[in-house]
Amino acid sequence: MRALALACLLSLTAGPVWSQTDEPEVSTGPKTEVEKLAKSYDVEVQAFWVEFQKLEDDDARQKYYETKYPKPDATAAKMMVIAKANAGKPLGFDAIFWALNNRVQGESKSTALELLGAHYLEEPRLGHVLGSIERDPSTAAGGFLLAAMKSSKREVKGAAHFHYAKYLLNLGSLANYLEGAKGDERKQFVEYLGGDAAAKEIAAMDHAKLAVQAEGLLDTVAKKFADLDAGRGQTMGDVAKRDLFEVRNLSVGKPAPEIKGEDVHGKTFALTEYRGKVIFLDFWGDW
Amino acid sequence: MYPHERSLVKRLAGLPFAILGVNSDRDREALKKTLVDKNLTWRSWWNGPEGPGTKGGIAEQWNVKGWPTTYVIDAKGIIRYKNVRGEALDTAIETLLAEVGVKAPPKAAEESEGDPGL
Repeated sequence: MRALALACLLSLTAGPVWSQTDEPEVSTGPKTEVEKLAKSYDVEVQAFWVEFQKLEDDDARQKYYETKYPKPDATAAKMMVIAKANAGKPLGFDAIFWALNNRVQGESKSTALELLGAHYLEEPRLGHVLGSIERDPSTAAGGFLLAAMKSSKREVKGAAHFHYAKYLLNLGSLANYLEGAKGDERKQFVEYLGGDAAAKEIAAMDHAKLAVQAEGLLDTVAKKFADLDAGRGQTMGDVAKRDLFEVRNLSVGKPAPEIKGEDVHGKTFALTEYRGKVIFLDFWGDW
Repeated sequence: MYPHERSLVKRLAGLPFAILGVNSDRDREALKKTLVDKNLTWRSWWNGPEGPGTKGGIAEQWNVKGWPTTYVIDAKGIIRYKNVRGEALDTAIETLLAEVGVKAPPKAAEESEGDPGL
């Protein structure tokens, strides 16, 4: 169950912080072409969860989740047709917003990035989709985030600084992971990265340099864009400060910050009591 | 990950090695039961009282956003690896033990296979 819970959790935490339901609902039922397509995909997803709930066995559930969760690809392709026909208009942005929020990959993703770069760098809502791009290690994604950093809209500029920093940090951890991966695991991972050439490029990156660059960007966010809304009741300042703490104090090579607190029985203990031992520190939950 | 952790505890017993957890379960009593039922003998901080759970506390200070998130820390208290799993985790721990002059006993044949699950 842990693996499935993790998959669900990661898809929640790695995803964009915004959803379209944040916007005030004016009427019930879908009105635009984009809303209609989105609605019919939602119906598919709901049907999936109904079947999922009927399964009792954890393994069966996991398998069902892995094989039957509705893929957004077909809907996204239709969304991109709408986006191209309405490039520069709010409806086109809605279509792209949907595709990126549903973590679409491949051709639709490339189309979405191209259209955003060409038509929506001044769209105030652009900041809300950047979170779904930061985990894409492609140079196209990085280039787009860099372009968004030059937007004249302050909320876009601030969000782009933040998410480009996260993009750079992600490249660093991918390079790290690639170094340790062997055999089939490595093969799968190289495929995920987009093939040998892309993997080679990532492996050749200078981690320390990426971290320094990311730290500078996060510092800028914390100083100049701290007041911006980051979704989920947090400001850009809140999230940037936590990420800065991680870059500065939780990177490989840094002394582990002290941990002091109670165990499940209420007894206090500290990480430094274990100095002299090799420690495997596991942030875990049994859910 | 439990079977891997249990096998580490067993294989490295008596050596300068420890597993420490930071647990983000919400229900303290249920957690006590989990520790017993699943034979999780290593110590964990409970991520309370500010949380409890995935918000606040140690997990927030360490900027944890996905579970499990793991670190391997050397005998001097320096962070040396993040989120290494499977064989890479064994190698990481063995490397750091070797740095303090300790050789880890070899894995039993059945341990090198994947998690049988629990």
